[in-house]
Amino acid sequence: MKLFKKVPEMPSDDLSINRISQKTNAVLNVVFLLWSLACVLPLALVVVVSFSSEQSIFQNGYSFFPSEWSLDAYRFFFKLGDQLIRSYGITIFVTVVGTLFSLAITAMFAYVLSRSDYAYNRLFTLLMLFTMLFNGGIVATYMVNTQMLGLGDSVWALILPMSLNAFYVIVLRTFYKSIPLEIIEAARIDGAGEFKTFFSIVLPLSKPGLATIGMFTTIAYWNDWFLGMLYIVDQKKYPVQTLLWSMQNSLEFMKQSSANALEYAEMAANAPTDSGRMALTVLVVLPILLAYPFFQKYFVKGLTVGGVKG
Amino acid sequence: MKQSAKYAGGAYNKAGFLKTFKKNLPLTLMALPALIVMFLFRYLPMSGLLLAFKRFSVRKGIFGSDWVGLNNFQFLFQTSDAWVITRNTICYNVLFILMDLILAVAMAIGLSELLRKRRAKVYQTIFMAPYFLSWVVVSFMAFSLFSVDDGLFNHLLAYFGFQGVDWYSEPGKWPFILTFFQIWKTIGYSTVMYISSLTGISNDYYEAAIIDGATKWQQIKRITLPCLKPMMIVLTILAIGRIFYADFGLFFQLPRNSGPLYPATQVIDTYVYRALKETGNVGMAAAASLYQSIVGFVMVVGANLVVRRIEPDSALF
Amino acid sequence: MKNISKRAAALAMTAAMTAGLLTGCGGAGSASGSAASGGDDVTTLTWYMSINPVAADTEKVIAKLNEYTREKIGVEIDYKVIANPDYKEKMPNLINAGEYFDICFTSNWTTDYLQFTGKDAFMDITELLPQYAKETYEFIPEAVWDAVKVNGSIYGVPSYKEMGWQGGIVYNSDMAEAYGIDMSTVKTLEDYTKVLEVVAEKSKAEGKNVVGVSGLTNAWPMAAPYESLTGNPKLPAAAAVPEFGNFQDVASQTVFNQYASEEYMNYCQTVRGWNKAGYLGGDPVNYDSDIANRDNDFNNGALFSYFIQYAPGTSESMSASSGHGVGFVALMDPLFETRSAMGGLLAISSASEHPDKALEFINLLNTDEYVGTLIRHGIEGEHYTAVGDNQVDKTMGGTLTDNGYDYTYGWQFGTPFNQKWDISYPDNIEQLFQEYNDSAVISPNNGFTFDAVPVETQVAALTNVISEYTPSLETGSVDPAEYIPKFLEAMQANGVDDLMKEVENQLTTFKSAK
Repeated sequence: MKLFKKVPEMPSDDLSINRISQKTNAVLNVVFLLWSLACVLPLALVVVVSFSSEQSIFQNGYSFFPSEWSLDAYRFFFKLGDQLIRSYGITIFVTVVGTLFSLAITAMFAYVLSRSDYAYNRLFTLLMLFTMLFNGGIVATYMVNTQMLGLGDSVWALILPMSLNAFYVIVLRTFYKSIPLEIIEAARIDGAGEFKTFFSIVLPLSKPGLATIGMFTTIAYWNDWFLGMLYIVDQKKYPVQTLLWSMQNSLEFMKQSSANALEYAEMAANAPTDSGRMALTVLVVLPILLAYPFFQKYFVKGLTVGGVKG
Repeated sequence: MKQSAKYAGGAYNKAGFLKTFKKNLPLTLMALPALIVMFLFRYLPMSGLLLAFKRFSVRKGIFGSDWVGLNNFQFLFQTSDAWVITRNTICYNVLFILMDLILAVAMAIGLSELLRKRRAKVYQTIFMAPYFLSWVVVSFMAFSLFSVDDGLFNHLLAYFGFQGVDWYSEPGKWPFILTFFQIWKTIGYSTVMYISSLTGISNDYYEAAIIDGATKWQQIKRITLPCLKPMMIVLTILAIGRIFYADFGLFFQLPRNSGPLYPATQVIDTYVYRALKETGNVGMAAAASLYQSIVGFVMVVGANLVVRRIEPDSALF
Repeated sequence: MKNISKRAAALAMTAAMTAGLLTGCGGAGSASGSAASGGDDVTTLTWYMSINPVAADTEKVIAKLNEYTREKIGVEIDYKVIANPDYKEKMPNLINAGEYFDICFTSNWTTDYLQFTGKDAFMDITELLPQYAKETYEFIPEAVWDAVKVNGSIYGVPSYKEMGWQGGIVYNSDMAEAYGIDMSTVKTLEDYTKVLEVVAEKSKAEGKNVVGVSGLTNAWPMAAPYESLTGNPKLPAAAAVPEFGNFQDVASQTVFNQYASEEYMNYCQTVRGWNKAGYLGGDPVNYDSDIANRDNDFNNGALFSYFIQYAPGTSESMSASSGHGVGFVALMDPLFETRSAMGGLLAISSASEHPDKALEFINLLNTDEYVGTLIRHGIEGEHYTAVGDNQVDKTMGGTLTDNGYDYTYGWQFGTPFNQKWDISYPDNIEQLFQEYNDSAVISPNNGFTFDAVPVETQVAALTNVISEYTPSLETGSVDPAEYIPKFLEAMQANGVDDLMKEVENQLTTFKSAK
């Protein structure tokens, strides 16, 4: 019980005894630096290859020093013009609305499940867990979404089906559980209702958890091309991932079937397949990587938890 | 309100159903949006599970299609590879779960202890980078390393006077390659999860420990790890629930569907994919998925049971 | 007995359907009549089409098409066009979910014709065809109609183009000339060994390292052509085609396992020799998985030749795109078998309310040259200029990439003989097709479609075994004397006998019904 002994005010960063030694720090840095290289070099390679000419890729393979630079791959995608802008717009809408909606229902649900004094806690947890392990498969899901709910060709087909992820609910529930029940009790004694307790006390305390889940949800919405591929028939309504994926595959399709096709299109002969694949990755990954630090500001130790003291 | 809140709920409450319901109403309302979404998008499609026992006809629909008993399941067990597939799927997953747990926790703690916090932030961002690359892109990159003729590795081997390796024909090397790429791609994700968990640990604990003269190592052992335990347990149980699923991209794209590598790369998802590519039988697909679900279900219930014995507070249910 | 009752049922159904159509038309007339300008009934047909890539000016072209078809047959098209790779993901789900459509594209490479016929997704049009698409029905040869029959009924209108498939080798003819190679002596795979030897020798002397041949993952059925009874040449169960004179020792059997044949052993031995001699490059299994790389090597003279399935006009267009002469040497006459007709079909949904109108429209696609050319090349003056009576020029003073309506695979819409030809084709292209089709060998069991349902378990397991063993065997990467027995054993363990027996039974029934 020594752990709970009260300590005089003392900002954590000044606790010099609590720091690791310079030597340990150096070792850790070396390890992390090496791993960073393993992570960042491939990404850099993707960027470089996306700007390489197709010819130089053939000659030298993927290389950090291409013999010839080229914008062909980007030109290929930018040819889409308005369509590309529209598709980015759709993706941004889906990502923003989806993340907010998803985070809202996930946060509330997870909180309810974290309350050990809630009567249906176990029932709902089991119901949810079940959906994580069992799923009806694509045929039935597709039928329900298009025939019963009428989501076919609509932007909601991209948002709603993935708005509740049982995994995130459980992770977030674990976060909430670290909030002492006394705080919630205290709020009650002060006369706060459940909703007020949740929004004004619990939510602020769980910012790191919300940021983590929010970030993963954002990434999931941003990266998703499959729902667009399934539910959106009209190409004009494609989110950007689906659009780029479709372009790239059309290109590869054309090349692969050229061998026994009736014709050999001029376009296929000099279209950028390898660099195109990489340019696609750049167009998809960069915006979301830029958004990353926004979430990260909640991950630094010691920002929020002071409030536990009440 | 005050009164009801004070004694809120508890299924053990002997009061009638209505009374309990009323007491829990505010919280139930809070859960309602999620429950509706869950019902519409998860439970309504569950009728698809029936397909595992049916021969699907477009005209007859899910409910009208003819029953075929357990026929759809046969292909999972009658193949002579059944054992290899099961072994590979489970062994890889066990390996991945363990590696991920140990490495991600170590990395999270390491990052949080770095003297310069700004640097920790940069590392953390970078570690996430591979997560964003699709397996297709990764497979092309891996090919530029492993290609027999033009691959970087074979060039290096040749440079040092060694014989080149036929990477895509030698299954013995692939358990290592697959594990490396899996960890490389997902470790950033799990690390973030643990880092945000670390952020939630109250400084009071550490402050108290310092007063007591605890060393850094003791602090990690006595405070950090115990505080991370709930998250470790939950993530592990959930991972165990997916022990019979394999990442299709990892096992199919990365080895480029190379036949000679099957002994090391064939897992249930790749087997099912190849098996059904020809026939497109949705009943068999449903059967495979149901089989995976049931194994996952049994594993989760088992794991949860064990956890509940040892550490009741961390159990999932 | 069973057949008779089936037939009777089919007849009754058709009668009921036609009756339904009549009342349906009458009822719909008042509703949709107001929409049509002339006061005639206009039926709107929903058409899901797979074509690549979706052209920018699609709407314009369809508006023009609707103008014409409204007048001609009282039909408007609600055109849902989806790029090929997307279609492959989307359409099967749409159909499974019971989404309404009238016409859809189907084939053996996307939204599988046989699979969905088996799931009752498509309508039996056997009786309707001669009534509503008479010209098309007569224009397409009987052998092709036979090939698309499932249990004696037709469920889709095939795109009639080249009959069957012809395996052979395309090669860099400039290089062949420089090295003094006479390709006309090549008749079989064994003959090709000498060619490869010369290529390796001469190119090494020049300090180059030219890969002799690639595309081996497709080569085996070309080396010893057989009729694939399952519709998938990779699955065991084959029949000998007498015209080719191979598989002598097993030819008397109705069904044999091609992988257990002497021919397979010989083929694997031959390529094993090539592989050991270094004619195939370092990694023949993966070489062709990157087609772009292969094409590039071929264009740059780093690859001498590769195996392909040939169609008339291919080598001409290839020499245009590769920048050097391209020749073709056939290893076999074209072979027409059941699967050959399934490269592309238009099927009518079993739930369609207007099968008559849908067929009339499909008929236009195949026999009305205005419609065929419009849907394939776009609007005259905007997307092409006519050259003579039969050809079009699509450059329109710019490059093809700027053309708002340019499709490479026009045959997906219907027969290319009903469409004008691009000027890049030789003038005598139709004649070339004619010659090709005349020389085609029609397989002995044409029209037999295998119903895999009773042995799906075995097919599933065997597919995996085959994709494990064949790539390395058929590229000479492993020793056939050691691996073929292993391969056969694995097939045995996964029910190859059940599959063969089932094929044989179905084939016997098919033959006796004929």
